[in-house]
Amino acid sequence: MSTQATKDQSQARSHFDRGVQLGFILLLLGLWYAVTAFGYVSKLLLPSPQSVVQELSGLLTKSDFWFDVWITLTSIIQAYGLAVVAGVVLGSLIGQSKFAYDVFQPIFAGAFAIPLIIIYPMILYLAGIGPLSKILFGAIYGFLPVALAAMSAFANVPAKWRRYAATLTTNQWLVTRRVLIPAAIPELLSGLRISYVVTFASVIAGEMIAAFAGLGRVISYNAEVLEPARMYAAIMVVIAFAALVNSLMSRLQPRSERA
Amino acid sequence: MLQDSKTRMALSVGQLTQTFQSRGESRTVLSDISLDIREGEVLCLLGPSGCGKSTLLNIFGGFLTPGTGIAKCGDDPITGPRPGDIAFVFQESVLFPWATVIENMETALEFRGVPKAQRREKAMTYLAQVGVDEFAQHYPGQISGGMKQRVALAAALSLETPILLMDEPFAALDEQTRMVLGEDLSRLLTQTKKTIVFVTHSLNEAVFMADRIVVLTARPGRIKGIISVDEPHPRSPDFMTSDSFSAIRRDVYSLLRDEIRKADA
Repeated sequence: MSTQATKDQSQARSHFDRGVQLGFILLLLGLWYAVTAFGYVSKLLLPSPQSVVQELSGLLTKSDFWFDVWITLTSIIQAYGLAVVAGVVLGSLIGQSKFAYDVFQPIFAGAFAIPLIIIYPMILYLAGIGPLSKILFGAIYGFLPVALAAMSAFANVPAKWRRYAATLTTNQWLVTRRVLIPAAIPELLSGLRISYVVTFASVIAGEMIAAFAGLGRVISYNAEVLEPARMYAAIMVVIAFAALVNSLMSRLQPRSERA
Repeated sequence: MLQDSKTRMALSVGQLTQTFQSRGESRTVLSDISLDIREGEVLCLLGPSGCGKSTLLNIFGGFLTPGTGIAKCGDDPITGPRPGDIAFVFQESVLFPWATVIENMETALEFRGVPKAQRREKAMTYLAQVGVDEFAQHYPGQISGGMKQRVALAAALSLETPILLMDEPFAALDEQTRMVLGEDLSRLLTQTKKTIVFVTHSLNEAVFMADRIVVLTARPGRIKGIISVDEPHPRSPDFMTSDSFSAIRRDVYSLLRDEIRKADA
């Protein structure tokens, strides 16, 4: 079979997959419309799709709402930036030494297994209700998966490549740049993806617990004041944002996977 | 025949004994090995599985320090890998999967400090020598095992070291591929005048390529005998069907036979 034919076939299959996915989403929307239109559920629990769309178009024209979006966005970027830089630096250093790896890997893995939201009150004491608290929390939570991925990626560079490099040069920096880093990248990338999800969730959660602004705050506030349609509208914005970033992230593919 | 006093030693070991500790047991893999390898000769280490031939090669390569005894490169004791002097071809593929064949070659040259402007041309020259230049833009995952070992050989040759060590470089390949590679290697090595030490399991490969074959005993490995092959390089495939080839092969096999049985027992 020619490669062109295989390509066409896999393209046709992926169109089919997309079609089924779209159909599934439409089915859910139809179900949503049906249960609200025929009054099976309380409007307080699940407002009708039409009312949510109406609230959404209302929100999107308000500068207040865009300020909330801006606060959430900049908080996520700052938290994620801190998490990635600290995680890559510390993780790659720890991964270079078997001793450091054996000591710290279980500690970091253990810390990541704890629902860190339990320390949020302490972070509020420390950083106040402003954006700093959620940035700090998102950074701490997002740091762990990056550090874990980086240390394991560097610790697991196959010995054969280290040996081969040793027969070629004594310049350790060159070995790091040309061998260790490229070898670590696939595992590191998966850590970066997990970290992004965790940071995003942490920032939104922080906003829902205590904040003056941000999408999480908009959601929790409208839940409190019994405006479910507006709450769902804000949720839609978060979902749209998550979907957008997720599709961008899935394009990050290491070069070696092309083969 | 007396040793020519002007012949310099490329590599040597004296009274080398190597012992490994594993699970509280100590295992002696090499015992009292003394061997001088002359500049420009092709030397083959042959012996039953587990006789320590790869261990000996790893000591020459600087990956292991001798237990007792001494290992030297020229007049210097070997204390670690020697990038300027010794190139190593490993048994398994060590090509970087994230880089194309040509990028792999260029990385090796970059490690040796070859200026960027000269890397591509030099890499292509050596790839052409081993006949894989048309795969320069492929990733290692896209070419066969034989091609990968050819690239590894090209990379090792491109370092232009006086010494080349090869640890069963063709072990993972089928018989036909090994024969063709063996012929190509014999031709290449004649041109390069390198000192070469290689480990193999194959009698044919040993007799076809080596100037001297060192047969090791079953564990702990001692030198059982050394057999010279006085056929000039480059050797043609006809050599393999000649009477002298068969005679040498028979001699080597008679040294090896008892040791293989011992190793099996």
